[in-house]
Amino acid sequence: MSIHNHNEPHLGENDILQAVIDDTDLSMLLQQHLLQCSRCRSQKERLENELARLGQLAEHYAPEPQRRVTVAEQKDRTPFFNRGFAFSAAAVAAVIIVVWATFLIRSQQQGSIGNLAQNMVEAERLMMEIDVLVENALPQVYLDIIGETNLNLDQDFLDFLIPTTDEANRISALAKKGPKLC
Amino acid sequence: MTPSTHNAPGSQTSDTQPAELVKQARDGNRFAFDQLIDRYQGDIHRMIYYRIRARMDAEDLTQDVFIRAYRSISRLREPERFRSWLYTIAVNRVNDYLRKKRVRSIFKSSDEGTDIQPEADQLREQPEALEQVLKEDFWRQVGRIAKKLSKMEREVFMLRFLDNLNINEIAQVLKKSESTVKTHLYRALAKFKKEKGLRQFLQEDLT
Repeated sequence: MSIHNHNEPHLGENDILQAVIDDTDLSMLLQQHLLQCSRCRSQKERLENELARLGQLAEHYAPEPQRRVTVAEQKDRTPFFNRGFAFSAAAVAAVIIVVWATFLIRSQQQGSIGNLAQNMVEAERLMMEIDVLVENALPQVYLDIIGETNLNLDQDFLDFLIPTTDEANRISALAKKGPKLC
Repeated sequence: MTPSTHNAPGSQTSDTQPAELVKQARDGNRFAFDQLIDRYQGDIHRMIYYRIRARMDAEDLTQDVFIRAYRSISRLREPERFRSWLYTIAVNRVNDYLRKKRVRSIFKSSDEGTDIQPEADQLREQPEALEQVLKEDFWRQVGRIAKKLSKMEREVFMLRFLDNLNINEIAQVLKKSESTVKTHLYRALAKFKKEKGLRQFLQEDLT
């Protein structure tokens, strides 16, 4: 508040602005002064008129809308848009699922092929070991005893060295009876 | 051309109070909503035009504002606040529009901002040349003061003096307290008072 005269406290510029916004925000003293003082009231009204004219001219110089707003067609379009969006989302999801499933199946196939190959390698190694045993069934210590390591020994000699179970039983029984006297 | 008002057979007359129309529209009465459109379309269109100054875009945004309002009117609890609620939607849509325009202008610096030029050229050829000059001058002056205000000062000032909303409605639109609105309005008015060009224009027009 600016006081121009001790007897006549007029509203200052800031008070006028405040009065234009909401004169009830002024103190009671200033509100009463505003009611009585034509000078302060005219200052306030002049600014208010300018602002009112601003609004009127803005309305005057703004174009009128050329078409009426319609919400019905737009509301119908909304589900269409949503449907389109849903279709797009479903398509993307389907592509993701297909790619994921393909990847999963391939990885499983690759896993089973890998296991098969490993089993085959192990079987191969086992067969080789068996082949070695078949080819040369005598342990190395026997081969060292006979002095030759690469002999083509016939079956009778091998039976002599390592008798079969039946043969071993027969020999054992003969040994128990003792030699037959003629 | 002002959009024609139309009432469907058996629908409410245009004398029905907005709050009552809002209640009926909330219950799914489309004719009631049509009457609300008739009542507020001009205000919302102007409000948007004041801020973006592009006629066609203003019409599109106005359409969009009412579509959004129609979709969500069932969630409006207080029918008496329909007007400020509508302005809130409009303010948000305008801000979205201006934000997108700003982003676009970063990439298209040369040819952006010319979208309203054809309209201006077209209007200049019309016989009301003086009116057109005054109109351009007026909007230039308004643009000048708008640039000197902060975003909130500008919004509060325009809502109060161009859109004719009261303090309470502005507080609802911007979701601020009334005292905050008054503070911004006070600052805006102080800057307006210093704007000699616009004030002179208005005073000449008043005399």
